[in-house]
Amino acid sequence: MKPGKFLILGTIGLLTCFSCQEARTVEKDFIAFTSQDIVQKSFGGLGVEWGTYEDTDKIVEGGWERIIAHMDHLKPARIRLMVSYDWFCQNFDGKGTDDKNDDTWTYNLTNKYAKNTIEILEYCQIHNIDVAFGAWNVIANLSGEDVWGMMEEVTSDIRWAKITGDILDYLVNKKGFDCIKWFVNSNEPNYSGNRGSSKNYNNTYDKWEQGVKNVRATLDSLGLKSISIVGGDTTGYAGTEEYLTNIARNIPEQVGDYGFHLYLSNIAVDRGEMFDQINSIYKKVKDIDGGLGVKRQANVWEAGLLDGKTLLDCQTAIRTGNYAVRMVDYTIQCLAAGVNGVVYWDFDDAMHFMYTATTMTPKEWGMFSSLAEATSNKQELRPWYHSSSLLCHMIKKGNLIYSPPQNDNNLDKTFRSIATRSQDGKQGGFVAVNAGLASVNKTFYIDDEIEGDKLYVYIFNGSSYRLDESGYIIPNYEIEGSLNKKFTIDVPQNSAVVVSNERL
Amino acid sequence: MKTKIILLGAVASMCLFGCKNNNGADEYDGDKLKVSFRNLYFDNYSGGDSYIKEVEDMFGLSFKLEPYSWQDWTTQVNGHVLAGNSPDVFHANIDSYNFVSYYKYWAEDKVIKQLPDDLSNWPNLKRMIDNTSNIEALKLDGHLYGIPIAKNTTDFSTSFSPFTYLYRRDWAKQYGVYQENDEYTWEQFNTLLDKFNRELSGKRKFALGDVEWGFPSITNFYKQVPHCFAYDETERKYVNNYSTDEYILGLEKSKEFAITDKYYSSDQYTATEGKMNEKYYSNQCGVLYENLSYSNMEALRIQLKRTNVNDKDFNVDDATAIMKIKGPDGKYALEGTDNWFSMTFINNNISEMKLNKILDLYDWLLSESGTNFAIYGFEGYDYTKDETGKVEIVRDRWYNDDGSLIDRVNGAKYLRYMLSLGYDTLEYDPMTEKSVVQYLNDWDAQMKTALADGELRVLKESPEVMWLTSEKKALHSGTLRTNALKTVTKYVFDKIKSINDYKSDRAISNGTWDQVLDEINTVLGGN
Repeated sequence: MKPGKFLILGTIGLLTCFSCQEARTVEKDFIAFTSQDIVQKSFGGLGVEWGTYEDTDKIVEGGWERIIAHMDHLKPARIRLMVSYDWFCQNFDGKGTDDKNDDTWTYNLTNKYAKNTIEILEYCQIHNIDVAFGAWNVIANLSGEDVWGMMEEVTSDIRWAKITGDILDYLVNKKGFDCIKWFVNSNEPNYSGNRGSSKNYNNTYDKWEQGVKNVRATLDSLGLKSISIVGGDTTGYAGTEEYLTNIARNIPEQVGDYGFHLYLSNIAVDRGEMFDQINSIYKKVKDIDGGLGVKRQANVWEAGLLDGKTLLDCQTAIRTGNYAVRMVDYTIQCLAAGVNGVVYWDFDDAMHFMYTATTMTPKEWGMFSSLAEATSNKQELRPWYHSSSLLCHMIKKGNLIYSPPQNDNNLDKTFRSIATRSQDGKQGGFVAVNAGLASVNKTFYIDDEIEGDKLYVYIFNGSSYRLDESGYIIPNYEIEGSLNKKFTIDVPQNSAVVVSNERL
Repeated sequence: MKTKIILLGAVASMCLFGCKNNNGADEYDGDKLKVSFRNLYFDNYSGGDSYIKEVEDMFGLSFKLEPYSWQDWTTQVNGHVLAGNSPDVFHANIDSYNFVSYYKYWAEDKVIKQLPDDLSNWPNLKRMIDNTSNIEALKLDGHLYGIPIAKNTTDFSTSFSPFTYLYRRDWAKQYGVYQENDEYTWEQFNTLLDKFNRELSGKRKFALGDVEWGFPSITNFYKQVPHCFAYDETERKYVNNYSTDEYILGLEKSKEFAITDKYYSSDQYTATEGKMNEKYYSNQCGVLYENLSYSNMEALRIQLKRTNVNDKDFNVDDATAIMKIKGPDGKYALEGTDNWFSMTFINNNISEMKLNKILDLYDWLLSESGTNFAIYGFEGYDYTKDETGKVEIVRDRWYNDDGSLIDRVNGAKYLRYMLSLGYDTLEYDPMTEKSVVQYLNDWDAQMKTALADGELRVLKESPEVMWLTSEKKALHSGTLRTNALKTVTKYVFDKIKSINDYKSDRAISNGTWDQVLDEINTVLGGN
């Protein structure tokens, strides 16, 4: 759906749609998902950041089993797995020359970082989960010891591509992890930060682009053409627009997608502004690269909210139902705007830390914590794990995505919905969010045929969702019915509603 | 770095700071003019929120925001100044000791842009600047080259700093040395430190820590002035503060606390910025000398709660009580201050149009609507106004469904830190912990009363010497202070054994001190 496609007719909430062939009048409170509303013909999938744990020794006893159980239940279609090359590269010898070509080093692929990386990849390989594998940044010690001298050229340093090739050759060609579908050419390259606190302080788009070209050539030479390079992995709208439009102009065929991170204010989600902003960037890139949406998709590789973020890089709102509802809304707006995959930041508090000279503080952004030091309430599954599991289960990889005209912000800034349907029509459902301050009554209907005579209804806010004995979400209720028949429901304020023809 | 600048200052007519003349080379992001800001108070904020976007849209600007780090602030500023690649707007720590070596040279070398003499187009900014204490001292040939960052934009009266002692009231009660209302005589303070030391030593804990820039805080109870130039009433002239009898008394007491009594940890000697703060919130330190601004207090409380998350009896108020100590003379002692701290500078290379847009932005941020936006956000979403204009926050936008306050990110608030520390907004900002604000205000009120009653001694250099920019003072005073403090620290930790060795140390007694003091006394009409 594109802005401007519909005309508001007065205050009674009727719209007229001037799509390709015929005008379409729609009612604000009657949402019919039709084939005209298909915005994605093959959805890429939802997922979560599940990166290598920076210190597996900090995981609580029995924690890994719980991690696996939670991953089993979440069923993501994709994950993003980031590593640090510093963990694997050792015995560096610069030979005392400025020539980087004669530098040598060895790899330690048996330490706890490598073991954990392989554990995660084995899981993904078995469970058919697509992996975006990447390295946070170049090798260097932030305290100023740039022993490798990589911070000047950053990822355009020829050794970056060499290391990347060596690691991926080992993981894919030798270990067989062909679940790795993408390579992330450093995290948030547009965020330079400051010398002393960021390895990326010296980066530019041009350096990053050269890095992509080097990595692409290296992977191709190793027979790893099936691994795409994430086009961007940028953060924020301005940096994303800069990188993505440059990529579209310069190297569209060398990247596999247009990828970015979005951490947004509550208001940007609540009032539907992110939908318009993503649409705007999407259009700018599409105007340059017609392959967007066809040969290359747009993906959000880190999804989260800004309000609630503390100076210690923790998200205080993750324990709340509000966060869960907003992330559902966030997902709806991404998918409606053409984003093909969303990866939530992140799975487990135990993965990442903020470091000072003497302390390491966990970055609490997860759906739970497996840290031994975490209090019992932090170890429990958080509300947004449950809401995310509903979406992962229902909006499957390969599905169709429908976005109705009522999502136009000119009509209603606080209510949004999308529907999904498998290609064969056996599975589907819809999800809606009311970000307003009052309950609303809405009727839904999916026009394209979906099988099933039972509906599973989940009403999600901080107090309404239900869990089974294992602690996983169950429907609020089940009814006889079909997605192809009108279904009317009160959607409470600040709530999400998920209706599926399958138990999720 | 600083020494290098001073040496180069002898040929100040040259372009010392990598000057790049790219006037008028404005760059745009779409239809928005790009502006880069770098400020210490951005912390790790880097934009991306809806509030900053609204401000960008409002002024047709596209912001690049970068923080400095607390540890390397001055180094980072000098780094970009010397490299000639300063952001459009940057933030530097300017005091009377580096005024000439930074501010004056930057102005002369056209690193920083002169503000318009007539600021009447920006009335809110003008009002704030006009109310800056010692503003004339900040002008060069009658022109101002930066914006002093006001602590409070409604109440400009400030006479003392909140640099004082926090302590573990809970421990004091537990050890039986607590005094009513946290008020301690000098003897009671010594008794408390002694008890803390006996209880804590051997547990990798200690009684007393000073924020690194404030060491040794104990000298405050003895010395006349905070830094270099004390006035000798008998001799009727300015003298070296670090060798006055009063300072030496404070120094001896500090040494006693560090070496004999071991109240100070040996870590204090080598502590880098933030170390003692960390010790305090890690439950390792009983009394901490610190700048008790609201933001520092809030940060400490958050960290302490985090450290003690598993202690159900932990009370953060009892762990962050302000200790009110009367010194040996029976008076409180606090360092004097101006009503501003640090300055915002505008790169001389930017166009006049960009300057005007920045000043427009600044004036708005200081206006009622700008302040409201920085504190409350969007009218209709974050808050509503009744017919009398009274603001009512929309609770659902400020509180999570578990009743906790949302840590909201409002970029306009960060932008406003380029102009004001925001003491004036603390009382109505929904994000502040009102009981803490009230607690700090109560302490401030008590100290003001004490000042009026003659029970508070404010340590402050006379403005006539503080802002005097005579040649030798300008050239040497910063180095004299830095070197003297190093020697002070060595003496306190017994790296210099005798007081005679201290007094004759090159940092305390040398020809440069004599030359600077002679010049000051000559210029100011002393002997």
